[in-house]
Amino acid sequence: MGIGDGAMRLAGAPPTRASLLLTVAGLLWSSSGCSSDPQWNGTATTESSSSDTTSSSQSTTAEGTFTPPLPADCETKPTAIFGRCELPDGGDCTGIPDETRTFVELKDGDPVRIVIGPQSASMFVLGLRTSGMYPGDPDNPASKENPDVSIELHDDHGELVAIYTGRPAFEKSDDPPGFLQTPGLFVVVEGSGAELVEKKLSAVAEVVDRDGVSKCGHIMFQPAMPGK
Amino acid sequence: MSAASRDDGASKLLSLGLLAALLCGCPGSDPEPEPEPEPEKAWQIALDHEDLDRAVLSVWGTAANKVFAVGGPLGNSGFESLALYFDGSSWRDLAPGGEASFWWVAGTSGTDVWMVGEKGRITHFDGSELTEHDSGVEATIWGVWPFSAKDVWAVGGTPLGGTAEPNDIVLHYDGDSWKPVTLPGEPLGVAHYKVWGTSSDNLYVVGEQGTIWHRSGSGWVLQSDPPIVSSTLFTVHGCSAEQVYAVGGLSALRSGGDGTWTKESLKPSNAINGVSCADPDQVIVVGGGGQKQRLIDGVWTNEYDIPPFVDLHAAWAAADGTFWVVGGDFLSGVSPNQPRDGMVARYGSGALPDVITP
Repeated sequence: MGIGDGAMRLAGAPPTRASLLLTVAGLLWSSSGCSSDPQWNGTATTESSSSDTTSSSQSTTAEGTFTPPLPADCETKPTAIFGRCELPDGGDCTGIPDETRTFVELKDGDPVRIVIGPQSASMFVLGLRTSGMYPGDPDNPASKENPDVSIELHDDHGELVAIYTGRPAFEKSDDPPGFLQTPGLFVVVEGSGAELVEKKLSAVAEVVDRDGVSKCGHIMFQPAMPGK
Repeated sequence: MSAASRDDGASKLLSLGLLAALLCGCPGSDPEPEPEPEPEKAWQIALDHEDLDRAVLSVWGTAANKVFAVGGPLGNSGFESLALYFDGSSWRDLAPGGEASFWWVAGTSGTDVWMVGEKGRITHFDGSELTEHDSGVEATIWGVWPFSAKDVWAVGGTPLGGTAEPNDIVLHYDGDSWKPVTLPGEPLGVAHYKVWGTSSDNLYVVGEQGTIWHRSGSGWVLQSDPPIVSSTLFTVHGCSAEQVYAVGGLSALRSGGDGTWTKESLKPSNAINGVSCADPDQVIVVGGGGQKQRLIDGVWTNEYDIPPFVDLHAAWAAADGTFWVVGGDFLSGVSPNQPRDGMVARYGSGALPDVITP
């Protein structure tokens, strides 16, 4: 599956979301650093522009660094940050409902371990933290009011390696307070995942709540083999 | 009475008769009643996390309103395996017992239904009783496909186990016992996930590392050599020998039965798990995040933004355009005494009760 497929997936979302795509030229994984942008204090409630100045294009440099398509304003004003999900013993979350999950904020280049599911599906258990939107109903996974979350992972050559679309509810964060977060999103990858370990993955997330409030974030991370 | 007056009287009588007939609505004088419009189909949730405490992994039926749904706790102790039957008006718990979850269900009729799953479990339902079979293996049996009471295929293996663990499993039932089938060449060391075909001489097996085996009258051929996709292929299903689908990960493949496979122009919104095809116009692909892609007028249409939103593992398509989908929490790890969400939904019409009776 090639670069264009990922763009088409985003373009295939509802028009209000499709219209958010902008080309962000010159975004290099080593310098993007905005998903953990210290300038963002987590209280932003920026709603994405409905501008039609959209583009689904992206580029791959000669060195193989992939520039992912980003929603408008996402590079300069990310409104969601990526995390990984950690258990109290330092292990990876496995999605068990009663497990004690800690949202560990990711910084560019951080490792994220592959988790193997019951049927051998290889996945990353990612999380998102944001604020200023309707969180949905944590007790009802079938609620129409849960935010619409989409995440795409591309490798450093622009190959789409995973897509997640779902409606997870967000919960209030105690530490730090004032945030909403969903720590356990299963992003299933192609193949065993072992072939990704030497690569860097670009993750882009969009979140749209029931009222149309839109959040976005992106990160580059380093896949790691399963285990503690 | 003159002829004219007789005619006049007859005309009056005829007119009165016609009038009476019109007024009393005599049979045969009415225009043909307009046929009632067929109820519009829509996605409906039958059973969800409020009704089920185990994941639902497979669904199969004999008709649009007669289906079996199976699953289980997937290792979460304190819960038994799950097998339900919907007869069109109510759900019945077949109470199969045991903790080994069923990963697949298929049959040739309502009195010849096979359920397979963890720990080599193979269970047969004859319409009234469940019978456990000895598969001869301890690994999970992930898929089953019967052609008759004496011709049934099952496949399994140990995910990521390679050649060090029981893998490349293919079993055949001849009416007496299950026997292992040895595939040609060196073992690939892959788990086989599903089996489907139009006959034992046109049979497909799919599994890890994009593996696709095909059995014809002349034997087994590895159609995925050279590799077609790297992703695990979780399900294979078709409508005919000329329309076969194999799906998994971000891949959806189609074969016309000539030994070659091409990628479908389908844009996944999440990982793909299942596919079912009833006829060329009734095809569905399901996956994570409520992904439900139907082939409508030759175009894949994703209804992921319509409930159910949970992860879907499998689907079954009926010839009348009804689709059943099942899923829930089948990705999370094992936890003692922890229930799992389950989901059964239908694209169809009519009442859909959410009560399960013993």
